[in-house]
Amino acid sequence: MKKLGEGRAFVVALLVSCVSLLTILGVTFVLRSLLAGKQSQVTELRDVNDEVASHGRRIFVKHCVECHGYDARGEEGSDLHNLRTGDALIRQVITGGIKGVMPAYGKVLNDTDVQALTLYLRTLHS
Amino acid sequence: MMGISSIFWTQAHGAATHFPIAFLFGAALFDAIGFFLPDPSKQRSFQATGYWLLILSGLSSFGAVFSGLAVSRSSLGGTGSLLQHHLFAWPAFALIVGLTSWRVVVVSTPSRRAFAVYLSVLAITCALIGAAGWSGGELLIGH
Repeated sequence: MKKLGEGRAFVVALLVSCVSLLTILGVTFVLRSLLAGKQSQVTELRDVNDEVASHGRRIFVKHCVECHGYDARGEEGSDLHNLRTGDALIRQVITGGIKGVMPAYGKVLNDTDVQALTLYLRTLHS
Repeated sequence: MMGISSIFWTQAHGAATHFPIAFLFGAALFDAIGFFLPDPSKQRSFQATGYWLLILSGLSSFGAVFSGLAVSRSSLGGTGSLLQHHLFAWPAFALIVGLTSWRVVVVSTPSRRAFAVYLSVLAITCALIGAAGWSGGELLIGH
């Protein structure tokens, strides 16, 4: 390969960086277009400012994403956005599970964890 | 099985990101040591190692970026922790690619001044990718 002087090499480096970022942008655009028609829409992770809700999110990532998806849009499990049930029922489902559908986490999570997870689920809106 | 797919990409991104980070820090270390060594032959050896580590970092950074896009479902920005992660990750990626390109095309023995500037930008890139790795870890795992 022909070697360049430092100044010209800098220009080449700048161009390659820009092209790489533009490539990423293009790939993202294509991926978004492909995903647009599917039920699981492109979503962004929710801003979780509250410390308790952040703890809830970590619990969610650890225990729930396998079925409910990283964005909680529902994959094998249901979509957890805009839950209309009360907190008590949410806590009951988390701790007791749903027979044949969802495992119980009552022995895995303590009360603080369940409360934090419930609070986090409340932050999920479409 | 989208659930498993989601888990797969999360784990793949977690694994893939370690390569560019490790290679970049290695490149910075070897290049910096080489820069300060008085013996030209040892200097060349260290900088040759740094050169190849930087190339490996540049190549592996694409794997990290594409697996990251799969995890975030093609989100380039996002909000909250994800946005913070991206604000560090994108400049770091651009700088890694830029630095790698510069090392590949520049003359084999750039001036000491040019190499000092290169090392400074490399240090900034290390800080950025370190911050991106930290915020990404917080995003996925937390304390």
